[in-house]
Amino acid sequence: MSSVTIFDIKRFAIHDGPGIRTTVFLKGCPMDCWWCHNPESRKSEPEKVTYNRMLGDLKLETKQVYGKKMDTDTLMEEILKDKLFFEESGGGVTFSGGEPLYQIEGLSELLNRCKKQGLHTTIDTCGYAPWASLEMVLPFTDLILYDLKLMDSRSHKKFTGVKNDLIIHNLKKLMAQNARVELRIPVVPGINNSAEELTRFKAFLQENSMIPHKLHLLPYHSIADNKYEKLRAKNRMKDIGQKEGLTVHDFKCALATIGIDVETGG
Amino acid sequence: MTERIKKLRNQSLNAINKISAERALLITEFYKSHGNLEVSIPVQRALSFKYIMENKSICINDGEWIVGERGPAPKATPTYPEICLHTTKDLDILNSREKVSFKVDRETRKAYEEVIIPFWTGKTHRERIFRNMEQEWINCYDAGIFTEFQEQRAPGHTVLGKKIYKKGMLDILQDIGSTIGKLDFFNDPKALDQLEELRAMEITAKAILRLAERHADKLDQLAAEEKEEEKREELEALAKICRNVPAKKPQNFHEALQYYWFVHLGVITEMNPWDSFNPGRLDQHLLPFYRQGIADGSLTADRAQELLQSFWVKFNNHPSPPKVGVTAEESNTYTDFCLINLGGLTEEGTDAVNEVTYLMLDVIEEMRLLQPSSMVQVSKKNPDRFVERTVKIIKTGFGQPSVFNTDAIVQELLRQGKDIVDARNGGASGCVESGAFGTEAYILTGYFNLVKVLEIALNNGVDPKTEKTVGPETGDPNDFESFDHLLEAFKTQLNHFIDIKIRGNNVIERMFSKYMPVPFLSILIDDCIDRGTDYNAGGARYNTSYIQGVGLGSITDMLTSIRYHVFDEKTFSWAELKHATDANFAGFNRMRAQLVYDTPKYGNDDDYADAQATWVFEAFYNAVNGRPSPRGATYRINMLPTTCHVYFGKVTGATPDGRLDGEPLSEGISPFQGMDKQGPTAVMLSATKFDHLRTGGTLLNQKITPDFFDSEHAIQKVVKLIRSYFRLDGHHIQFNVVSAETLRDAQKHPEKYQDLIVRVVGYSDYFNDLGVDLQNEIIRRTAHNGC
Repeated sequence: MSSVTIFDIKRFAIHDGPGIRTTVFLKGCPMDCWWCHNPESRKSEPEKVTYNRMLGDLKLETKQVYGKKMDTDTLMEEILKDKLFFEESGGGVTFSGGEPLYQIEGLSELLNRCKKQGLHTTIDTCGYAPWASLEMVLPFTDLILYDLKLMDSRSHKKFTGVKNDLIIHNLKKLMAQNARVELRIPVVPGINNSAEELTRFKAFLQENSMIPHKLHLLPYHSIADNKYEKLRAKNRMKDIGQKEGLTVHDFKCALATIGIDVETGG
Repeated sequence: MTERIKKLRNQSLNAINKISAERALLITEFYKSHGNLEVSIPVQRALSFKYIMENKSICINDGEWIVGERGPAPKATPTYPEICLHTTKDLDILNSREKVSFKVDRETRKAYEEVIIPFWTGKTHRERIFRNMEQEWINCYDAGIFTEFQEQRAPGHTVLGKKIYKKGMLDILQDIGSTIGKLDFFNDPKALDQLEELRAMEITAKAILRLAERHADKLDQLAAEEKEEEKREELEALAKICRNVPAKKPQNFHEALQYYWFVHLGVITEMNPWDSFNPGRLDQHLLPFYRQGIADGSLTADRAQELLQSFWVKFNNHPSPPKVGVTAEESNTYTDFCLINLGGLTEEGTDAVNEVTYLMLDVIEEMRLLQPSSMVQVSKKNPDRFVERTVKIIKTGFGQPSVFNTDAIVQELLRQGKDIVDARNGGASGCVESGAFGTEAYILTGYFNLVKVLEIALNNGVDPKTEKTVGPETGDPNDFESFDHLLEAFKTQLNHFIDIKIRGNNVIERMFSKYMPVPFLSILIDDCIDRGTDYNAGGARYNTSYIQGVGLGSITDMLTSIRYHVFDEKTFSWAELKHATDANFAGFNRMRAQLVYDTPKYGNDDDYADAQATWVFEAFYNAVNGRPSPRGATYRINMLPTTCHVYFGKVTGATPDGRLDGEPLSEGISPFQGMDKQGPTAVMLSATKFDHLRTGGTLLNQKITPDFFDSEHAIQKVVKLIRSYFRLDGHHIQFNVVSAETLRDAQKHPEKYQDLIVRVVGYSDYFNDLGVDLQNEIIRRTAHNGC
């Protein structure tokens, strides 16, 4: 039995795939996106933080650890708690992150065990992983939520820390294997909400026969500001501020014209 | 909404709630002139009812399709001085208080001062009750260990079944006559009492016919004065309806509604029953009339909708009669707990959702009125489309309808010994109480403060608030060697206080059956006529008495805190914890933060915490369930608080779960406010670890923000969430759809939110009419946000 490092488990997750789901967030990510709303997900190891906990008007200094190692038995028990809700709603389990493929050994064991329990399985990935990892989990994964962040490779490198060639390469291979994929594009002001990026997205989707796949546009929210404070991590989005550019609605309308099924939100 | 309905709706919304002295004066006149008649008590009560029906003013509102007001005008609310007498001070408070006020004009106050108070002082039923209660009962009542429903309102808690749609009052009079004919005066010692009760029933049946006739006369008179032809015809048609019903069984949709309304007025005028009265399964009752009307062309869907809307306005015109004294705080609302049931099962056990169900859902959504309240019964046999339609109304955020599990209700009723057809004809009324409609008297007797009982156990029998010894000495918890020892001490206290409550209930029940019969209500509920026995004396086919447990979430968290910190982890000793709670945590902020944040809590699907919930549930169930009452009823439990968790919180000091002195307790079976951190599936799993099917109703409240329902997919998921809870045998769930931000703004700017209705607990109310404590609590409840 192996173990994984997680930083959260969210029950009644309703935006991470079909039905009512439990989403397990695995800790550790190879990318470094400026807009990341889970900054506590990046490092692989648990992180200690100190913050002020409120009790009424009272501030109490409190220690907290982001992330914990969990053996797969315990995690399976946790996942199966809501199995009646999964069954009733056609839901299941979603592994998100961080980047779930980053802990490939634990992940593939968990997916395998979930499938044996008859659960619908989903992974939410940035796609930046060796093809072998994807290939390994594919037989036990019913749905892949696949992020596309920026089409321009140089910008991709600037805003996420890595180039996008591996991501695109993997996605094309998944297409070739007829994997069930839904795409996710975060629309981030000042980073990818330009007319040029939109044009590139459109072209990419059309050229690579992505039209039959569902596309989710994820609006950017500054919900993570206090997490950055807690972690004392630099929040680069603060420097960007509110840049002009296209809205999520603009994206939605434009992408709908090429016939793809677009939804706002997860 | 048509112009006509808009006008009626506005009239109802803008009408000022006020006290009307009319009923009090009539009943005083009657008892002054007829009080010494040598007739039996049932006949005397029936004659007083007749006197009111013959002399009360008749109010016809312009444009309404359903006629009849309890008072002289919409929202003119009567009092019931023979039950409980308002003092002039009470009237002044009602007149001037900020929330749920009732205007009292000079004339009304004068009538009270000069006529009503002098006559009734010393003679009211309430005074009779308090004279008969033991001191230990009074001590418990004062300490806030329990409340008493019947101290100023009569036993209600019943819902009308199918009877009036099949029988007119003339048929019912025949039934009464035939029962009288069958009385055996030679062999049955009860026959003479039965004769008196049956005669009383006859008098009330005739009295309601008189009331209808007086409406018909008034309508004819208005018609004669009316110059506009269309309006004249309308008034004449209404007069004709009032001459047909309730005399004969209804012939069409309109007559069915008008018949019910006369009966409703009768029940809520005869006495002030808790949970006014209720047509129950209205979509089932009206279906044959609807289909017949559509088939023969006499009715259209639009017309049916307008009739229903006019009917809805009538409920909203009738606020709950205001109470006196301390109970104003326990449960204070204009709502009189009429809960229209939709959907569920037919008596044959098939899917009962029909075209009238959907029509009524439209009416509910469009009318957005405080009253009547509405609920849907969801059986596994009902289609998803029905639940989806419901969720879309819930989404609009006025707290209706609430959602009930038909399959659980039927099993609860079957377990209590009801016939399956009677069970399927049942549903839920009031907040969440299960009942067999038309055949059962299921009386709620009072809220029971589980948390207070633990507080007393932790203080060795002493109530720390009043410093009186109210319970047995079960030992100083410092000396308890194990957690089980503490549980045993609690159980001893629990049984002690339940005994006191039940003994008091039985005294009160006997007094109602002896002195306050309700012959009119009795002719409506089977089998009172056949048995020649009053509703209040056990005449109904089924009789149940409920004690409602309050604070399950709180007591679970208190016990869990002690188990975890004192016995298992030994974080601190009982003496330290006691010291902190005695000080209301002043100087113990660290400890309090540990108790609040770093302790297992009920509502998170955590077996360690939930074990205490199940244990308390079983102890409460065993203390109450199955005990007999004098009228032949059986005691049962249910878990609902109305707003009593606020009052019970006020009388309870700081508790080991970190709750501060005076803060509200948890409500229903919901987790303590804000303590459920794992989302609704975990709440549902925690809340179904004990057996709902052995209760007569549980209440689970989930506050939900509007973004939860932001797409068709999300709505589908809420539908499935409900279905899952019901697979777990959950009895009821309600969703409060508002953002905390909106509510905070509403507190600051009440003027901007006068239409804001929130689901409180088991019913909805105007947010502005809630006390600030309750407002704060609603804000605090976890706003579950699906990601």
